[in-house]
Parts: sequence; C-alpha cells; structure tokens
Amino acid sequence: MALPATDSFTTGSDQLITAYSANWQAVSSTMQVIAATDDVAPNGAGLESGAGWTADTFNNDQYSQVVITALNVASAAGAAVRMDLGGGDSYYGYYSDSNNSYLFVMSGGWTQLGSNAAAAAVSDVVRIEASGTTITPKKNGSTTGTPGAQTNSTLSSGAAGVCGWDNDVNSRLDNWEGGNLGGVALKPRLALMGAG
Amino acid sequence: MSVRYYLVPLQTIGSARGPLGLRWRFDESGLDVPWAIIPYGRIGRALLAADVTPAQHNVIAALADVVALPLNVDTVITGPGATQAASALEGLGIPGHWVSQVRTYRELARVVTGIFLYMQRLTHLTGANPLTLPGWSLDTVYNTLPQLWRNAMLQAAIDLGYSTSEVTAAATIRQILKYMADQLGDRPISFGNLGTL
Repeated sequence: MALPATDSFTTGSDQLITAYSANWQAVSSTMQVIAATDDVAPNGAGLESGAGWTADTFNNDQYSQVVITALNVASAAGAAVRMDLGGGDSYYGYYSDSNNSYLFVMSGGWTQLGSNAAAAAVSDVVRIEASGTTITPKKNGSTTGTPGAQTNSTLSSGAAGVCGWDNDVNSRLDNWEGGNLGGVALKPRLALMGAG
Repeated sequence: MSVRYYLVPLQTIGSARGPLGLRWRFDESGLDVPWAIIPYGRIGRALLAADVTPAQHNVIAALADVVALPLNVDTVITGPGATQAASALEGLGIPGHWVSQVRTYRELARVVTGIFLYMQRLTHLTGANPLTLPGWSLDTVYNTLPQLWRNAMLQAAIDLGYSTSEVTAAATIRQILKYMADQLGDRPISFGNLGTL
C-alpha cells in the first residue's frame, strides 16, 4: 500500500483490531474495533494499549493522527509513532482522557515527557510527529494547548499507529492516518532544449 | 513566572514515571506548573524545565536530590561553582569531570542533556538501567563491559548519527558519555513550549 495509510474502522462486529484487519499488530495490550460506532477503543484493562500499522514501511520521520470520537475520565485514546512491531512494547504516544492529554514514551514502562495539557474534545484531530529527536504533539494542527515539541532519543524507528489506556468503549478514536514526514512529490521536469 | 532548569529525581508509580514533586498523570497532588523533562534513559533522573514563580522554585529546589541551575543559565560558572557542579553531577551518577571545560550553566546543561539523550537510546537497546550492572561505575573501562552493553553503546551512537572512533577498549564510561554528548553539537534541545537550550 502507499503512504499515507488510512483506516476508518468500518466493521460489522466488535472485535480486536488485529482480527478486524491483518494490517494491524498489537503493541502493548491491544485495541478493539466497535461495530456500533465504527471506531476504535482501548482494550487492555489497566494497561497501555496500542496497535501499529503493518502494511507499509515507514520512514523514521513519521506522523500519526486520529479523530477523537469519545473520551472518558479513566481511559484514553490517541495516536502513536515509532511503534515496535517486533514485540518491544515501545512507542511515542499522545493521547487524551476527558481531563487531560499526555505526551509519553513507552520503553520499559511509561514515561511522561511534558506536563498534563488540556484534554482533547470530540472531533479534535490528535496528532504526533517524530522527526529526528524531536517529538511533536499537535491538536487540530497546532502545538498550542499541548506540551509542545520535546527532544527525546529513546526510539529511532518503527511504525505509526493508535494507542490508548484501559479497557473502555467510552474513549474512542476514528479516521486514523499515518505517513512519512517531509515527503516531497517529485514533479517531472520538462527540459527545453533550443537549437540555434 | 520564569522558566528554570533543574536536575530532578523521577517518581515511579507502577510502571509509570514522572517528575517527583510535580503534578503529572499519576500524581495529581504535585506542584501544578508547566514542565518538560529529558530523562537520563532508564536511570531515574531527568533534566527538568519548569515555568515557576519564585515561591514555586523554592518548593522544587528544596526537594531531596534536586539540583537547581541559576535563573540566568548564561551565568558564567566560577571556580567554586565548577567544583560544586562537578561534585553534584558525580553524586547523581552523571560524569562531571568535564565541568571546568565549559563556561556557562547553559553549556553545562547542554552537555548533561547530551549525555542523557545518548543514555536514552543506550538503555532502550539494553532494556536495563546500567546502575544495576555489577561493577558498573563511571570509571568502568569499555572492554570490561558485557558484550551486550558494548554492542549497544556502538549501536546507540550509530542510531544517533554519531562517530564511534573514540570508543576504544580502554575508554571509560565517563569518557564515552562525554564524547557522545559533544557530538550533539549546537543542535537545539527543545523543552516543549517552555523553551530551548
């Protein structure tokens, strides 16, 4: 498939995201696709939940974004980058519950990188970018109201995907998109060669 | 409010970490100020930037094992200041032998951050905190380390685009960490919306 990759999670039954599509792989605990709303919720009770996109290979500089469709106080939903599809349980994530949003790195546990920020709202686009050692969370295209771009070098590569916290269908995301940063479409150049 | 920098311990709750004494996801009772951290890999310390009032600064600076940098990080480090800073760093498991080579606290903070960024990648690759290694100290020599750690030290450098030419058999951990930090060069170190070192 070609990047950017997208998924709108249309499904006929509630199921794990890995059963819904072979394009997804669980990282940490998993996520589930919800039939009634055609979106995704975290599915690990008391655990970090994540799933990475397997159908494409991402550059190290990449982004992931989701649209928030519901948020609850004790669970969270958001986007992740540099997810280790090799079972390493590691990624950078930016997610929100109904009180706050959090930027973090998963590597041998969960480490918060910046102070609690304002919660996302339903229909907000939550996005995280990784460019070199700069990790940038965004809401609706802006870093305003987020912890801002942080310097971190824990993870250098991986896949884009989705993430969350706990097992709760009341925190959900939809319309995922993941891709590479800095991609420039090459336009063919017409060389005009004049004679004489 | 002013942005100030600190070396702080990290608090661990379950498998989650955040800065001790400040409000974060798993400690709602902490001081509620804007902050950002650059952790020392899996070692439980970090360089913290926080936007604080003088009173809030006093609260953070009074916490155990916290080292506060001057409000103006461009302050030139004096002789006694260099001795104190080197001693404080060494006491936290951070090499401090190089402090006399830098001029200001900003330069000091950048070297410390460079060490931390390298340790982030290194300890992700090893999956362990080096302080748990038998016999580990800043003066441990490279070729006495377990093969896993030697390989990871080289790989971490490669992943960050650094040279490994000074990672020799006889090099000490402190020399290697400083060497890696120096290769950060003048790249900006971003602490979110709070500022850049």
